[in-house]
Amino acid sequence: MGWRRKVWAAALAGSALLGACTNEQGQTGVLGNGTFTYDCTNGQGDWYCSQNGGGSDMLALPNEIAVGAAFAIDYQPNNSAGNGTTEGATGYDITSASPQLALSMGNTVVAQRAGYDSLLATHTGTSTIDDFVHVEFVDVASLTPSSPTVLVQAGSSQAVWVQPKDSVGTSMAGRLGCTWSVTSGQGIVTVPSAQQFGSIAVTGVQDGTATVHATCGQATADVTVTVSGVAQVDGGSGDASSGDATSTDATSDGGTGG
Amino acid sequence: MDRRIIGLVAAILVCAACSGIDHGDIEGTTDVPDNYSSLSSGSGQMRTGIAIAFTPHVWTRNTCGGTSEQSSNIGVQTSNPQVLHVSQVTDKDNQFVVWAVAPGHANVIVQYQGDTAMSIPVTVTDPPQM
Repeated sequence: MGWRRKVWAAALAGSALLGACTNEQGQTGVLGNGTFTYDCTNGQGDWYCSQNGGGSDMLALPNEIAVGAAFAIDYQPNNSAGNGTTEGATGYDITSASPQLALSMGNTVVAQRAGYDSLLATHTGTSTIDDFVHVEFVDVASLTPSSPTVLVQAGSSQAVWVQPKDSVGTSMAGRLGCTWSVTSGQGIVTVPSAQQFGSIAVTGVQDGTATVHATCGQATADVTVTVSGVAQVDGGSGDASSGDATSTDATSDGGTGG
Repeated sequence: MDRRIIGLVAAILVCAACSGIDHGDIEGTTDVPDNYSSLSSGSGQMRTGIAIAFTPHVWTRNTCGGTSEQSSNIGVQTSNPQVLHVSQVTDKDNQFVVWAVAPGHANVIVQYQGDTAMSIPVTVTDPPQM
């Protein structure tokens, strides 16, 4: 009786491990020697990651990646049986075929110009190629905000993000470096002062309507933020910075917004 | 009789001796996504950033006029690493990857025992501006 339970437990554990090893969302390399996946472990501000499970590191490669954006790619070689991937494989570098198309270090890549680029997987310290895939970089034609209007209570924060899109309106992957500013309604909301990726937390300060402006490369977008209903805030100072690196900044380039 | 056999063996040995490279070829080129880049035994054109894998073949001549394909000691080099890079595929003695680094001209050179079996001129150009 005891041994039967042990057999069942071992079988279940084995099947769970096999499930974990099987990468169903990655893309097999051109040579068929391994699988490439889009790594969202540090994907905050990457629209593609937020739409496909957030922190998962096993996403399929996107069809298009925005020029100027950073992203990470993982590579796992096939196991010795040639079916599935080796669990926990490490020590592979991803290298862009051309520094004109993208810069790469470790498994992080930054797209530099539009076109197809080959991402080559090499075992660290070797010069031979394990496998490669082609990805397409496309210029950002426009930014679409998560919502053109956002409601937030004074004293609380609301996430706002923008999606980079190509010339025909297709959303693209990648973490774009964006500058966020308040172009109207200063004092009503605050946004982080340092350069952020495609998403920020807008903090309501007092009732009113403000325009938050995002600039990512050549593309821009505006989000109208309405603040109403003061939240319960102890102390009543009104400047309810909720801690997470948001600082009051509405003046950096307030006069230049379009 | 003995002289005939010796003569026959000697003739076989002479014929089997390699007298040089006959020709080279490539096959098994992998697909590209851009509908432009290509690589063949005669020439190649590639956009910057594109990679193509292929398998080279080399045939040598024997002294009696026959040819035989060689399966080892085949290498591939680039004439201009500023334009094209070439590397072997891991654990595959006879598969190579060539990728376009920057615009320009370069040759993919297939060698057997260090001697050139074929040289493929390749032109690399940047992707078109959208």
